[in-house]
Amino acid sequence: MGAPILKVEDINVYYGSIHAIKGISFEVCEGEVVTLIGANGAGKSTTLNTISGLLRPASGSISFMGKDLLRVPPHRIVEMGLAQVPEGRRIFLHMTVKENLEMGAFTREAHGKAQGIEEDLEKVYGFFPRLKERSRQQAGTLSGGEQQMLAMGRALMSRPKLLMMDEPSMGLAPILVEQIFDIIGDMHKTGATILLVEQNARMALSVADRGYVLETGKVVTTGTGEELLSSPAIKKAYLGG
Amino acid sequence: MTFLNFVISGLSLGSVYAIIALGYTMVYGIAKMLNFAHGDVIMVGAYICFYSVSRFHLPPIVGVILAMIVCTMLGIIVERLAYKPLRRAPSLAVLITAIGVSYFLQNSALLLWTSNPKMFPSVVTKGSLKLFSGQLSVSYVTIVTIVTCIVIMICLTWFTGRTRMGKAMRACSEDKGAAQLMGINVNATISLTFAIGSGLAAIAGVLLCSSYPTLMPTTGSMPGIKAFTAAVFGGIGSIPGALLGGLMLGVIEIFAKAYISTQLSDAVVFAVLIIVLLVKPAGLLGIEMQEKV
Repeated sequence: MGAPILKVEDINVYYGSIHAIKGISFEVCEGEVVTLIGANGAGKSTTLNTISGLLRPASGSISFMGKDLLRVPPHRIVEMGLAQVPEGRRIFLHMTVKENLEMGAFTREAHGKAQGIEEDLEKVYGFFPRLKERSRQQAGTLSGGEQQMLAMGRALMSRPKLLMMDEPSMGLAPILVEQIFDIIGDMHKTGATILLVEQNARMALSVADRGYVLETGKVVTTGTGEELLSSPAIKKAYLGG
Repeated sequence: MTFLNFVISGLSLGSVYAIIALGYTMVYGIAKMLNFAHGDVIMVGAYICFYSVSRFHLPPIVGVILAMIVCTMLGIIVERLAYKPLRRAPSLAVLITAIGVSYFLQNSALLLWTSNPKMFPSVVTKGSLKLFSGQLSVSYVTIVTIVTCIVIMICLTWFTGRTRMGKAMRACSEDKGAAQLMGINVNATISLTFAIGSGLAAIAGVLLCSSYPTLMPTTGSMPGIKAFTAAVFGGIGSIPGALLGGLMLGVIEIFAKAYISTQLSDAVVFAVLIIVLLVKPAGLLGIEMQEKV
């Protein structure tokens, strides 16, 4: 396991007067798959959106590769190597599959780092052959599973050093969920660093090196994926007994 | 031959509406707001061109370019000062602000340029083209207007479909949060949209006043409302929709004036709009939003 690449320390986030995140701290090391699990409203997505710069914490610090993320304007965060696959996929439905992928590489084109985009496109098509077949189709015509693949491919196009995924299994048929998690496992093997937010705790913990359990805006338990999978309390609360 | 003449003047008027409607529709697409001050930007553009040509005796093309520069800057400034602070405000607050900006521009023009109508010198000085041994006469202004509209449409289609910034613009208009997650600077993209829309408004102002030469501080408001109607007619948010809506509105207006009644022409235009919206609530080329589950 490498050095910590992402360090979140004691962040507090509010939605108006609602205190959504109450002092969460955790870290992700290079090459690790870390998962945040918890029920609806535990603050998992809020945490990811705060790291991505969509939300600003009232207090606390977030550092990414040694740099203070809170001092970086949100649109520059992607350039630093942090990409998010948002909850509900949020692909651009009226753009083609290829255009969606190109948008993922948006910041790379800006700074004369456009070389390699074509190769990465092929790499993404390698992970998700369905996307290649449909590259000229409007993204809105894809099925739910294909849309999730597109959202993941789009995030990969920025060549992220850390990939954050928010509920990749949401709304997908069990067979597709398995497929998505197989791909996450494959990415892990190639050395990708992933922060995974999931309600499907069993799936998430089975691919993760470590996990944090969130409850109403706080970290209540942490441990390796196996530890958490076998913990009776976790089993009872999140894995259905 | 008169019929053909009506069609041509309808297309010319419609081209002006279409160019204005593009500004409405692009801004609506990205900022989800109706910029009711857009019509008044047209008026500002026309005044800038008028003063450049009539007072400072600059060539018309320089007048047009100056008008575009001033309007582009005006659009960016208005967005930055009036609309950006309201990015998260309810849409009603933004709408009222836009109406306020519209009056602000009109009153500023009144103060600067007085209410006396100015005779706008056409930027196209050549007379008209005679066809079919003089039976059909088409003024060059009309031709220039229609050609300009076509060129603008081609450029915009290329820009939004092929360029990096154009695609970023489409991404922002679909989902600003997701666009930001791609590393797109959403604020800069919105500014750019206002800049393009306002620059086009300047062209529209010059073309409008070249055909209908009375220039007053209120000159922009009626064409502004008509162009807004055209944008809704074609499907607000859609660029081809703005073109189609604008052209149809122009042709319907001229036909209504010619065959029904000059006084009733606007009523006819809006009646057609109401019927279209009853049948197709999203407009002719509008996209009905649906979510995949």
